[in-house]
Amino acid sequence: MAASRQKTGLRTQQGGRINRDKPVSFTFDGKTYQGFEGDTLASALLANGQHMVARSFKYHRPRGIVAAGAEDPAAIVQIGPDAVETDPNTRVTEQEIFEGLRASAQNCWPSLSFDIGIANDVFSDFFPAGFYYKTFMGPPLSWMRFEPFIRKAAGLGVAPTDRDPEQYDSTNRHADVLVVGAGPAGLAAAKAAADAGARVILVDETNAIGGALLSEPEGSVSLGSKPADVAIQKMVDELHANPDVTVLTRTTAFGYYGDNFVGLWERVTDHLAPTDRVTHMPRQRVWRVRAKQVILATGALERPMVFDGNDRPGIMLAGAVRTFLNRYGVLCGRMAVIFANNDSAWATAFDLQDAGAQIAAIVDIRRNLSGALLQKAAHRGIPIHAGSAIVGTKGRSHVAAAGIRVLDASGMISSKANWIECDLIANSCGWAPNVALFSQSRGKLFYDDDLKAFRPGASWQQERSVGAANGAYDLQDCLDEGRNAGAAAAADAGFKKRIPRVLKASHTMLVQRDLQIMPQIPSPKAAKKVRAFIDLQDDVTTKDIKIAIQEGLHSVEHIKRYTTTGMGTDQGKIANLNAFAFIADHLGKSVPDVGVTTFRQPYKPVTMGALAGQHVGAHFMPRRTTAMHPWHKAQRDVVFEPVGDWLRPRAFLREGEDFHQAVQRETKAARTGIGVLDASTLGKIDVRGPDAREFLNRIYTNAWSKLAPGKCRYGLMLKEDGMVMDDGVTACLADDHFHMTTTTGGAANVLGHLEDYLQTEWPDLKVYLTTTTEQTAVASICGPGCDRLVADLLDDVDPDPETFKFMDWRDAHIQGIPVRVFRISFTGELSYEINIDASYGLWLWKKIFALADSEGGTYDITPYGTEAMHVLRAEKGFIIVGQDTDGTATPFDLGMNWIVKKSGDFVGRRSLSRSDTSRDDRKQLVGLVTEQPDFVLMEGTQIIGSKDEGAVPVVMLGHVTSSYFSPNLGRSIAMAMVERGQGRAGETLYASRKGEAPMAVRVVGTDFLKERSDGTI
Amino acid sequence: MAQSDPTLKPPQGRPERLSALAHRAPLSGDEGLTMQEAAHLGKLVLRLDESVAGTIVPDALNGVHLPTLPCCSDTSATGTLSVLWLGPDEWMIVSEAGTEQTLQTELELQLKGQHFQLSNVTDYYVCIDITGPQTREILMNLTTLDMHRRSFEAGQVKGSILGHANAFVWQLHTDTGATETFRLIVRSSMADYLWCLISRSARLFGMAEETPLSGERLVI
Amino acid sequence: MFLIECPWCGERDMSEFHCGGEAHIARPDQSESMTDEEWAQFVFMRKNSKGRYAERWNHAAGCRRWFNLLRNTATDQILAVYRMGETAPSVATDEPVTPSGEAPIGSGNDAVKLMKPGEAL
Repeated sequence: MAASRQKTGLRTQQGGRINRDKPVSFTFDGKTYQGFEGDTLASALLANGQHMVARSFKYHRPRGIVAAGAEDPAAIVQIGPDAVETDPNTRVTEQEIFEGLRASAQNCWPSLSFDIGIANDVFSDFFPAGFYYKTFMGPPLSWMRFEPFIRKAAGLGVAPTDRDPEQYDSTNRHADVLVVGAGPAGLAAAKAAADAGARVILVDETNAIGGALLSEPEGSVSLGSKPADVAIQKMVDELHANPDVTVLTRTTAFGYYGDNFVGLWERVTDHLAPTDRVTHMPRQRVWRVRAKQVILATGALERPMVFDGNDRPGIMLAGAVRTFLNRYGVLCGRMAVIFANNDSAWATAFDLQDAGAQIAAIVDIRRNLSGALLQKAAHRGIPIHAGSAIVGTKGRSHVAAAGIRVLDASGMISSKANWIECDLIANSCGWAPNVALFSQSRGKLFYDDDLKAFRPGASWQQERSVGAANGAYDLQDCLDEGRNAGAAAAADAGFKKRIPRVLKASHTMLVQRDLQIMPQIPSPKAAKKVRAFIDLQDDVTTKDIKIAIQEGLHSVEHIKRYTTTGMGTDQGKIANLNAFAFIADHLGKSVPDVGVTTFRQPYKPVTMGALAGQHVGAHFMPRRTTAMHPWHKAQRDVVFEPVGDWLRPRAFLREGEDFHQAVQRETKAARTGIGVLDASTLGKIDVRGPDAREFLNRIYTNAWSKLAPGKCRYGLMLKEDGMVMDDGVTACLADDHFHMTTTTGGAANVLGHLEDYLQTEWPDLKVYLTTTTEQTAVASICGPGCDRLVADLLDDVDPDPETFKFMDWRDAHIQGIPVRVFRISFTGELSYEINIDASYGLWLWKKIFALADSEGGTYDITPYGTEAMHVLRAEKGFIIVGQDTDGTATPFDLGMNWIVKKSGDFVGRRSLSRSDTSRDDRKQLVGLVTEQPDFVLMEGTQIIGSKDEGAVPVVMLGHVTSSYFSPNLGRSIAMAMVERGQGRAGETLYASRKGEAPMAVRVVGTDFLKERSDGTI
Repeated sequence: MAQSDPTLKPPQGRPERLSALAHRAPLSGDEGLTMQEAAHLGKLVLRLDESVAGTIVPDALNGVHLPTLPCCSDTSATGTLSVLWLGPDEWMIVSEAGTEQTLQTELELQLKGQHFQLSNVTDYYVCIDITGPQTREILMNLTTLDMHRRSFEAGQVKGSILGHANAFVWQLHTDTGATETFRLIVRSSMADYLWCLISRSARLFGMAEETPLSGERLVI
Repeated sequence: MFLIECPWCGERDMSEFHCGGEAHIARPDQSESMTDEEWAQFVFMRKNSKGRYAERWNHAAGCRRWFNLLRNTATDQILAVYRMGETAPSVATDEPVTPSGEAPIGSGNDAVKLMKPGEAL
């Protein structure tokens, strides 16, 4: 008791793999502590006597350090200097300390030692299993109301308040053999594989190579003729010297996916003081590894005993206590009680005693213990309680005493309480192979009755489990399994089989033997009062699991979801097997009959930054721009629009203009002056071959047999279901050679669609396709009299509309540079599209604008953006595929019957006569004009048939697909898909509006310019 | 920044030619690492039946063959003309800057009678050359291709995805012992993205990170 | 994320490919004489079977060639790769057999996470 409050002197005099010459100071919860280089936050805090580091998730009970590695359930803290550079839920057993490290307790207020939330603990009867489900099955909004409070009361750390300033990398690797875990088995495997010539990646989660050997007292193990530490260093040096071997420490294999794809998460600078971090080093890195062969040497995890009061700080896993002692030189307590069901925990007692701690008792539930073991303990004067158990504990924020009782042959309590004072309970319920990655790889587990744990069974992928991960706990077995697996994996990866040298180990290690499992230690208390924790992070007790079973949940997966056991940031690494065993015991089944929950990726939480790697911020995704983009960007005030990956100018604002005014001006200018549009983004495909015409006949709805060289034609492309997929103008360059254009967003799809038909349906057609989208930049020049401007530009072709007719194209030159000019129009106005090699695009663009009156030229030239383009084409009634169509419109629905040829097959033809597509009540494209000419309908507005909406559900006739204010018509115009629309010309319909009476609209044709000249609008 | 002010009028009488990476100056890093654009190299895509490709050696190609082995290339002795395998009936002919139009005309004549397609893609694609001992590692940061020496040899060309951009990765033939050069062939509109992403991925090797041109106003 | 052996370029990451759905569905020549039902069968209906499934894939980022692939959809195991126009080779595979319709291993289903009593390793 006195010892537990003593905050100094828990560091051993010597030993441990820490650098005692390099003291490191850090703060925890505002208090400064000292540790050494090589310490984790856990070992440094324990060296200072600080066991309690957190409050639990639900009941806010004190939580201490239980394990020494990634499996620790609840010792998680907030790390970082401020609210931005902060990492919640960092495991103290994994965070290495550095000078100036700042850590703080989370999930407690106002402080770790006095936490208001502990009230949840007092009222724990009100937070039983399934609490959330039961409480919030009320009215639909009640969860919304309760959620913020629940989050605050039950929770983990806090998220950073701003964008992460750190840099992360991600990289890809191919390996012949990937070895996960650099303990004796993994190291032996990596060595054997590397010696065979394989490309090897060896990773370990911790900062050092050696695995469990690092938890043995120095000098107690030799490999070959050398002490283990020396032998390991020699092997590591050899691996480092091999250019085909990558050794990564501080790297977790977090996910095992299909085809031996394994995700590795490397913490590159997290262990360094900010001053030691090199600026170009990423904070963390994700390695995406494709391995021909994988060797899993992930070790075994120790199970804790499940007994009443087992969650107090100071109650730790026996193996962890040994690790803290031998790896970090830290005594976790001065007066220890060992609670065991197997031999391995006895080693903890002996090592602790050797380091100066007192062993108050070894409590072992086994009645028959090995003579040698008993003799050794007796010789050391350690009191032994065989066939006994710890049935309760005392202590407020730290364990102070263990209540020991004798058990009878049936496991029932058969004696009075014997309270033994202590400041440490080191307990072990045996070891279980760490099969998480194996199970992620979709291998099948089997239950080993000797180990009382699951072991890897049949592999699914090219993988081998070795060493403790395979249930081999003896050092020599680990070395042999590793070595053999490494050699075999290299051979399976195609390297010459070599018999690697045997590495002999000599040691006196105590391993798990004669295991006896008791799923729950009995308690003299009334069942209701017992608090034996199975999941220390999620506060799940045996009582919670009993409730779940009582309420009819018998599948492990259901019980997990109902009680939250095995959830949270630790995913129940040390809790799961105890949960399965308890469920099995309670249901009277065997553990394998109960089964396991699914081991999913990731093995432990990975920062989002590391997963994103370098693909963030400015590098998030490509933004494609045209050759003319520098000119656009240099304009006074230009607004851009993302179109697919492209960035296109949407409107060029002049001084004093808002966006709407700019669009109106640009739209007007294209019909009164000269408008110029950057149309470079349109998809372009070169189509060539003797069967090119036949091919076009089959993929477009209209006929191409007679299109003469020098001419262009508009085409509509359908999918096989008869729905419009894309449109564009195709020019005939020669009898067997065509230049096709597609929509900007559809370019890649169309090429894929066409190649698909050529390669798979019509391999007999002699046609080749090559995309040429970005080869040419396109300036689209539009407006009455724009031919004069084009004439000024072209060296050698007269653009006179009388001779250079609509839908003609000509090869020409501008200052000697070849161009191709198409007389095509997306506005209905006189228009020329000049195609030039993209590297001259900006030059051409600047040359055009040098002719503008604003630049001292003689033409009234206005650059216009995509928004004006949309208005201009709508004035003429041209559709935009993807805006006026949504994949459910046939050419007939769009009123484009004229483009569907009368005979001959084409993609989608047969679908046009399906009973559904030929219905007469389909939605059809119409023009709409509002009763109030200045009212612009919202796109998406629902069209209804009556002035009043009437009772719900209101019958919807259709919806508005495009809607603008047209400056050239001086009124609003809209296009809409309306049921039986083509028969409704002149009809008045209504456009539903939010909060207002429906607006009357009149159905007209879609060519608004024609409607105006006809006097209809 | 080699690029002229786009607001200026073009010089009268002289067409100005700009590549998509004209605004990027070569970058360098540790141990001789460099990245630069190989601007305006002539590029033609040839489509031709694979059954005749092995037998046809147009004079215009100066003795360079159309490789029929996947992911391979053939280069002239002078190193000025290469033919890259892109697919079983698809090749890219890479030639010195300014030669593509003559080459196209000659090839058109010499392939007459065959069913073929020849398209000028000189401006469609941009070539980015990376040289240095760390090149393979830099590329590994961006592609799932196996970049190990045993898997990616000199002369090989492989289409893949780098970050979010499709590109061809081509290891140029170099003299034995010389530092390796990889040439990335990427669409012009993606070139700035890829250039900057490479510079970012080469930070570890002393290259200065550049960020893509941006700052356009998107919303009103 | 599995690997696919492109018949031309060799083994590449799945991200370079594009899946085109069920293979061996030929576009009918005489569609005008087909009933609506027959035509709908061609346009809309796909087997989407669990287990062995012939699919079309395109090496979109590489050689742009379409090819066929025989895949066990319950396990993502690729059983064969063959070119367009060729018929699917006959290969043995672990067809879904368990009560839940899963392949006996590699499917990740609850029913196949554990070895069964007496099952050989």
